[in-house]
Amino acid sequence: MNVDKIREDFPVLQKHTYLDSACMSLKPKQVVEAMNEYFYEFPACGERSSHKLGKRVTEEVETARKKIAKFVGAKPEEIVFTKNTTEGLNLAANALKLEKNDTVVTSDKEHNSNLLPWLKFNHDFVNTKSGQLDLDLPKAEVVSLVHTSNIDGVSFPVKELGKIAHDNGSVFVVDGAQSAPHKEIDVKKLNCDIFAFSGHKMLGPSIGAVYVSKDLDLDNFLVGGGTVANVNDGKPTFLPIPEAFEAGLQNYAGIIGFRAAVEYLEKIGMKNIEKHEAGLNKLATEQISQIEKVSILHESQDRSGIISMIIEGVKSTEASLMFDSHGVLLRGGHHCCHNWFNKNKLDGTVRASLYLYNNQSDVEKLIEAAKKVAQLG
Amino acid sequence: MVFCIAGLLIFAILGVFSTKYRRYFRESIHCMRRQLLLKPCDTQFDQEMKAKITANISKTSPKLARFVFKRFAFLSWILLILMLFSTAAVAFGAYNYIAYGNCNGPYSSDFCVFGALDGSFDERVKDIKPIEAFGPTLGNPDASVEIIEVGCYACPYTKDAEGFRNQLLDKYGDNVSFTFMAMPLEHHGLSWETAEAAYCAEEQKKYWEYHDLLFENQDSITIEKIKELAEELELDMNRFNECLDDHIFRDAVKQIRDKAVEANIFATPTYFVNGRPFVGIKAFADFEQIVGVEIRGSCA
Repeated sequence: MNVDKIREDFPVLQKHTYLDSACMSLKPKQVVEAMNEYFYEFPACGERSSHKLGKRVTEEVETARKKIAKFVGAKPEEIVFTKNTTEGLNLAANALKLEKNDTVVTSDKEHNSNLLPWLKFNHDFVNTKSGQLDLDLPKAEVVSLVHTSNIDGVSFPVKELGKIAHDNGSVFVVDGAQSAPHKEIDVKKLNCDIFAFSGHKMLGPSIGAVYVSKDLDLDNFLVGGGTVANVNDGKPTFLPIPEAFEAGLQNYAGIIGFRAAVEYLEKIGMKNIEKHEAGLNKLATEQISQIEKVSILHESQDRSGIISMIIEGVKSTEASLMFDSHGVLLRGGHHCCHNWFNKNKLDGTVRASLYLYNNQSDVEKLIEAAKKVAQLG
Repeated sequence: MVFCIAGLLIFAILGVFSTKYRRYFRESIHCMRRQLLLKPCDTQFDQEMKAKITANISKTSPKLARFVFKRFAFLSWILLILMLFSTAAVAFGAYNYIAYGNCNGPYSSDFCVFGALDGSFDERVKDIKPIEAFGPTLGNPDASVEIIEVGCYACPYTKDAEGFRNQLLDKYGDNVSFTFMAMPLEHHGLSWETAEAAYCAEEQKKYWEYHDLLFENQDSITIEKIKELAEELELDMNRFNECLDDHIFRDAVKQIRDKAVEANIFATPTYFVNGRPFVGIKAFADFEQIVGVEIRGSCA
């Protein structure tokens, strides 16, 4: 894996030390060019208009669906395009045929996007210890868990937890926003029924996708143009999934850009990316853990490409601005996981998140900036 | 909140020169508006400024950065108070300038920045006519460079310029002559009395010694002090008191003042170097340039 060559595809890196990929990844030239091709060459409707441009859009969208399905080990008809992971999880919460009294279990470490949609049901938490879950789940209609946490980078053993959930008769939903960009995903092997993820966290534009198992019996979520085969006397005949969930004109440029992003990642290899991030994280952890007044959240765990720091005497939001002033772009705060931070009485963390385009120099700048910020505490 | 208000003024000025600061100005307005509506500031403006300032300081002095970081709110309050104070002073000066033509108030001839800004200062300097030397002179009376200082014993600006005299005489020796002419200004207390007292001392050949004592004691000057200073120089006190109390030199001082007014002198100290007026000289280097030109000119 030639990081120097990869960095040439991301012009932003010439000016900035970008360590906020858990929020928004950068886009390589190839993705931007693929999207521009849509805008310049065939900016039309897909799956409706039968003219040349319309057909081209339909072909490109279905090619993208196939690519993205293969990327996560699914069949094309099991992939629904969404705005983002949040919409995918809302789709799950609204399309699963649940009653108000049905039990939904999430971990205590969920992003608001995998917590708020479930609160209208009989919701319960399973608690983490040192950032990790035990292999034990209560009986529930739905278990919805984050795969890799955006707070600390710790991954839950979703394969084993999925088996337990299924043994308990639960539908198993996985928030894959932070895992799909960083490791090989096979939704079948993970034993999940629904797996939501985002394009913008994996080199793509702002778009999402959700894997929905063909075995699920689902209600409609968003309805409208493109979701029905016919409407007669006010009675709609809905199309099968995925069309049934893709209401209205889609973000075609986004879908095409998503495909280009997946192709880019596949070319480099997800195993290589995972190994590269782990190596950089190890280097960062070794150095940062030596800095007085700085601690890394769940330091001893395997944390993917995330280093979540607590700096004594400096608020996390202030610290992130300090890092910015020292030329290192990262994120501070609760990372949309207010419940977990409130429960653990923490002000927040300063989170550096690495990706395939980060190098040792970026990590060294992070370490130097951390030293300077820690001096203020 | 505190930094929002302080920032508003700072960035309003800096925003004239750079678009970067205009964004900060808009943020500080937004932040202050929310605070006035008792809502929290939602732009992290305070935090961003705190981060930028402390991060910049930490590049050179981590200890100072830590000090600023820990006491940012307190320092913001001090900054705000100083800014409000200076804004009020500027507003007061502007009012005086509009009402009386000088930012220092009625009857003042002290330097006024507004006059300098609108060009009227330069115009007024151009209007000053040469004045004839009167009174005790130091240096060579036949020197090629004649320097006259028109000052006031009660004027703090004249006091600040006092060091120039000896520097001029030390540096240029026989090439210059130096004359001090006292021009009393009504708004300075005891300006007439001190001017008269100096000439009373001159009567007893102690002019320059007494001149120096007047400036040294300018801040605590009273009629009693004027007499004490004369005693200090062991002057004949009967004569000195008679001279001062009977205003023997009042007419002479008035003549000097009338001449100065006729010459359009509007501020003290005003210097004349071979007849050319200079107002508001703040550094000896300026004198070196002016006098140097005069000396070289006389040699040509």
